[in-house]
Amino acid sequence: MAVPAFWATPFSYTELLAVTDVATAIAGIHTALIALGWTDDSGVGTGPWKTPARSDGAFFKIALTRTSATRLSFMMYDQAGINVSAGTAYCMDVEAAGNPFQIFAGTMHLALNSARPAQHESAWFSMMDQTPEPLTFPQAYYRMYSGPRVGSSFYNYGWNFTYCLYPGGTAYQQRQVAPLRMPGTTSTWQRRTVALTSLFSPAEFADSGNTPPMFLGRIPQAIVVDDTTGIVAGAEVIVPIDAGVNATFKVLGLASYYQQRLAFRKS
Amino acid sequence: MVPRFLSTGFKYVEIPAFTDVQQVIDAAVALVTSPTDPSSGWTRFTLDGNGYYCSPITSLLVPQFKFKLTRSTQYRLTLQCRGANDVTLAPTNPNCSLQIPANPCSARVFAGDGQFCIDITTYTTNGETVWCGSLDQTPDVINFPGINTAWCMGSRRDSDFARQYSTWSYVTLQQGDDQAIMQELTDMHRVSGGGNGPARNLSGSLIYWPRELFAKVRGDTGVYGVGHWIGRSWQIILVPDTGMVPGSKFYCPIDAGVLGQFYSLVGLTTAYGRIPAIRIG
Repeated sequence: MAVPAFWATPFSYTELLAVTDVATAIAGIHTALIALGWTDDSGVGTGPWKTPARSDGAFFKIALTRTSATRLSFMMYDQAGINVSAGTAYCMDVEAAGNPFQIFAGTMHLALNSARPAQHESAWFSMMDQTPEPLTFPQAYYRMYSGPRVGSSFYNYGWNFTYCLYPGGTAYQQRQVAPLRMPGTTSTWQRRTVALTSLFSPAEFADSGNTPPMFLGRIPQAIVVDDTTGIVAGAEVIVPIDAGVNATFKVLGLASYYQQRLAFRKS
Repeated sequence: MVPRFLSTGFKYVEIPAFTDVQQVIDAAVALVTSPTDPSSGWTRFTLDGNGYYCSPITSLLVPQFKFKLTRSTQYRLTLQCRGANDVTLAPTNPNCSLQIPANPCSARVFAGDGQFCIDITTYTTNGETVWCGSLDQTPDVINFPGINTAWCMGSRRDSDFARQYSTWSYVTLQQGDDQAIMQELTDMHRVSGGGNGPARNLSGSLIYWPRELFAKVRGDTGVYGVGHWIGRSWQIILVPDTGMVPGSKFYCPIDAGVLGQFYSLVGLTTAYGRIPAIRIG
């Protein structure tokens, strides 16, 4: 057995302590991305940053803007240059007095978490893992979280609120997509075994709007955790991802969805 | 590495043109008691003093189950199932029978370390099935106290042979120490909000899943408690009910470069957009 492809991509984790100016966060993100082989279009550390090309040439770009000392704005572009959030500049805040800021970077994903004491603010961007499908068919598939805020308006969306280009679609749409591996509709189910061992699963999605629904792919280096077990934003869980191989994942601040939270790989 | 639930012994036989369920019982007994064959991984069942055929204990990770077949009439057959603890599942509310028509029909019998199934493949409109087995709960602790892994179900109710709960998602399980209950299991591979899981990927390939199930058997709260993952069936997978005809023989990759061969069942109706299939090769 081997570590699954979606947990085998290069990744890194960086925590910046007491960030009071998002310029510090941008510099940290730049350092993390360049170390993973991303390229900085500006050449001077201001981006946009472009992922390493996948074996079929697919990539995406992230643009980051310091709107103010406490507000970081971002945009995502797919390999065709299309703005994934249809022109909406989402952003996230840090405390004026400073707060920890976590950067989960990888060759196919980027997740950010501003650990504000009252409410974490998080965002994620990804090219989805579709293995074992051939890479070039039908297309690379991208996702961007719809949040956490537009200007001063904070949206505590569930982590499955995303922008994505649906099969057959011509423009990215804001859609609530369906995570997989969930048994029911109510709180009478837990992601636990009968022996009460917690179940963690890949962060994978289906397009439930189609009949029959289609499998859309997985976020690399991410898992879904059950928050009925008391897991909260910032919590870390150690999960076996192969025989004798453990990985540590950290829960983002995105709202729970059907008792599930999203966590990214830390180590 | 082939997953554990697809690594156990198995065998199957086809029974053409029979008119009495005794012929099916005889063939099933012959199948499960056929000599152990290490080269194929097959290990024979044994008969206990109560008339139950006991699955072989080939590994501590494969819980034992026991079954007994009874001919009620020429056309009606009933299966009873026990776990290793000899508690008979659903003795007072059984739904574990099948019926055949007066005209000749055919059947497939599947057996293995963790599963047994009779699938009547020709009938007027529906097939008929009885099946039972144990569950793979690895890598969790085995035989969690109070949880027995044996299960069984069939197309018809034993008392009057009315067709009832004939979808694959209904089974009888033991709840706690002393109850055997019939309940609807939930396929683990659904989507949040209760929708069916995906049938195909973006390129149109069919997606097959283990028969991994949630059930309310712990009794933590309420009558049946909170639902938990109870395990996966041995050598059984779920396939989409669109794009897969019941009774199909097909291949499924079960590891890098390894194909398993399966038959989709005829006698159990669809649930969650899936029908079950059992390994034959």
